[in-house]
Amino acid sequence: MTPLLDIADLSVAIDGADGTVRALEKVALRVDAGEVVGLVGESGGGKSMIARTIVRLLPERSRVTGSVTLDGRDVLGLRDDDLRDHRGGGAALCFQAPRASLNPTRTVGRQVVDRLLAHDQATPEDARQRTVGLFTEVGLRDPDRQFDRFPHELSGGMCQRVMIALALACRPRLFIADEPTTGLDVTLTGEILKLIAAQAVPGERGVLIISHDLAAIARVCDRIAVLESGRMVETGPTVQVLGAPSHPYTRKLIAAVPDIARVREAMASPATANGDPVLSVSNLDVVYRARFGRHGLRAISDVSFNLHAGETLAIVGESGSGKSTLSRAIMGLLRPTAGRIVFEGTDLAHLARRDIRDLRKRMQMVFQDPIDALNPRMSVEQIVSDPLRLVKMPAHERRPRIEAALSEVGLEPKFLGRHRHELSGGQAQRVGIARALVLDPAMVVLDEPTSALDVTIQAQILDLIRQLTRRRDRAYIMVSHDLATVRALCDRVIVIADGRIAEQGETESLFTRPSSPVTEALLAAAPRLSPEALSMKKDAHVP
Amino acid sequence: MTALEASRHSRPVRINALLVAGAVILALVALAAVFAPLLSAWPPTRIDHLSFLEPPGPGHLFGTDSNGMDVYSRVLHAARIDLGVAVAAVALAVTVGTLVGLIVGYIGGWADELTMRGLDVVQAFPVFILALTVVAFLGNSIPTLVLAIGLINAPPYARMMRAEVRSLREHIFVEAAECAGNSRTSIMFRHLLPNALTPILVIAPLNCGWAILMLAGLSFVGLGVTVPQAEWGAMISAGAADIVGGRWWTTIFPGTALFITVLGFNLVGEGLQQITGRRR
Repeated sequence: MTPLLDIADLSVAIDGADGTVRALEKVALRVDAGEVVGLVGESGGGKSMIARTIVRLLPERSRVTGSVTLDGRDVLGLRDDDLRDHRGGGAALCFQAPRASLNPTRTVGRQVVDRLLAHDQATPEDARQRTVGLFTEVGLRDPDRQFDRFPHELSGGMCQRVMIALALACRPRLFIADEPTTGLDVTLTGEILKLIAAQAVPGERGVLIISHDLAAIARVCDRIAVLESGRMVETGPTVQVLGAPSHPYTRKLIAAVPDIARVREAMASPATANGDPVLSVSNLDVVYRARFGRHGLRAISDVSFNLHAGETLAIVGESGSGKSTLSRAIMGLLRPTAGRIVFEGTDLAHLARRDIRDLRKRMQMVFQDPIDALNPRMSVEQIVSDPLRLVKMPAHERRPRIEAALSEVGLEPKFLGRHRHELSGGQAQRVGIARALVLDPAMVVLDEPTSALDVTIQAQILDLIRQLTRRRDRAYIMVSHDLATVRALCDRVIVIADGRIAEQGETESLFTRPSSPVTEALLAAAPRLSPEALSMKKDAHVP
Repeated sequence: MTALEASRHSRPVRINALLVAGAVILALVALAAVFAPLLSAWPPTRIDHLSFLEPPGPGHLFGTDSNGMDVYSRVLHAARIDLGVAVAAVALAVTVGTLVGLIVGYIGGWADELTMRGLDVVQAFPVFILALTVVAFLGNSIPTLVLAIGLINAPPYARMMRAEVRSLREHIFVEAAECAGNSRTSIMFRHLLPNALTPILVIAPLNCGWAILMLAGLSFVGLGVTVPQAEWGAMISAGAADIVGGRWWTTIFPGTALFITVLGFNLVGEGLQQITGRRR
């Protein structure tokens, strides 16, 4: 049987001002109808370049050699009308960043109608009906109402469903999803991936999923192809690639997946667990005021917990659950509506801004977006020394302090003069952590410190955090949407849903005997690469 | 990504032809202004009683005007006032506008609303009419001219700065700066200002060109610099009557100087815009 998509010997070189970049080197890839193939690798590896070659959306100055055949047609030689047909009914690409890929000035329904009419897939009379049909197919609730809404009125998950509907509008033979789950939380990730995998129909349509997140897509893929720096290093059935990886890069990717089964190593319990807590939050409410007398949004209601010195506490919840609001309130970045936040004996809920500044010597924060958290005009030295302005310190003592903080996070002094555009995501996050540690605070809040990073970098940063939490003199709060990343790190876990604490307890008892359905759902959604998890794969095909 | 950050990403700065041409012109004009007394034999206000409205010739390079003053010397000396007033006025406009925009953009709320509506009112008047009114009230000395032209040009800078700051303050590094213990003042001046300044500095040279034209315009209608002080607009105004009699030199030379200087500022502004814009 001839494959649906056959890529052989594909090389892409792009001429830029800085010379030629060899984006792809002799890549071979095959997708059959009815098959779901996962293409994984780190960012910059050339994954999107393959997708763009298939739909012929390469940058202007690229030189392509090799062959791409879809359904027996030579894709690289297509022109004009044939190319248009190919992009509609041949291969359809579902772009990453769904909200940014939708036109913000047209309703989502109109955008699908546009696509249907442009490819003669519908008449003006039945276009709306067809669109609503597509919306139902991709699992949009209340499709008739969504038709008239604009992209900004939909959630990230709904936008992704609209993008899938757009790609499916012309009944393509090959459906390509480029990083379909970036920005979605764990439970949504599972749903969207199942939906995408369900589009593979034997004899009719094949699916290619591109992702940096091996663990997430492994569950729905029949085969996995691993791309490293433009070269295909391994392809094979999912179970084989994950079970017996032959290439070191594949092994590195697999090792980087946080293992939900990994238990926190035995450690001396925090010394002062019975002393006064570092942080004590009681009956905290945060209501976002709305304009013109409308009801405010209740982001946090009635949250209470304690944090002791040396303890590492996880706050886990889906996006929109209120966990970021909670961490910002703890840091005094937003003022709670009611309740107390007592940090080292001072209630900062009702403190003036000026007085909160004093507390910042003792509490610091690490942010989710490591690059954006650094001032683009400042050098690493300036950034890390910023908190030192809070304490009187002679100039000659600063430099050693900064270098000590950098070495604590594994950065050499040569980074001192660099700016943020000269740093990788992982290095930027290390700088962010160094800034938080430079004053030796009593408490550090880590707000999703790894969710914006590539998997292998994620593993390194988690390792760093693990080392830091091992020193039992500082309390950490780790905010995360992913239970797998916190099990091996945290003493206690708070699960938060709809602004309320759904469950809190010791990490192990919470993982082994969850008492709240929210915890159970989060546990079920956590990606895992164990054989039993992969055997669930087949039922994923049922939509 | 801000333009400035983008500029650091790029290869070594490519020299921009417009920028260089503009800078050379402005440097020549500035040199002429500084060394005016050395470059001309006649003081700008000395009257040659033997020659009134004499055409250009060896004695008076650009001829003399109806008062018997040397046009060449006056054109050179006028550069001092024109350049000085324009640069000082724009510096004032940039300072005031940037400060106002920075503060209200960061604080937001009613202070922001109020300031912006106030600027709306000021900007609703035609710029030149506003300048006329201010000078008519305050009198037309050089400091009041700087003040008038400066304040009238400040609102666009305030708007630009406010817009930049409002988008910048959504960035995480501002929140990070607050966590690092920066005060509001320090967040504004150490973290926001350096990141917001690029577009302002690109517009400022263009604005210098407009400022010179405004000064010349005020002088032309008699509310700016007055004879015997040498200023291009005033010279054109005084010489306007001579054109009818075919005596072109009293207006053409100051007019050309004005044109060349404004061209210089515009080229510099255009060049800066291209450099930062190309890399955006």
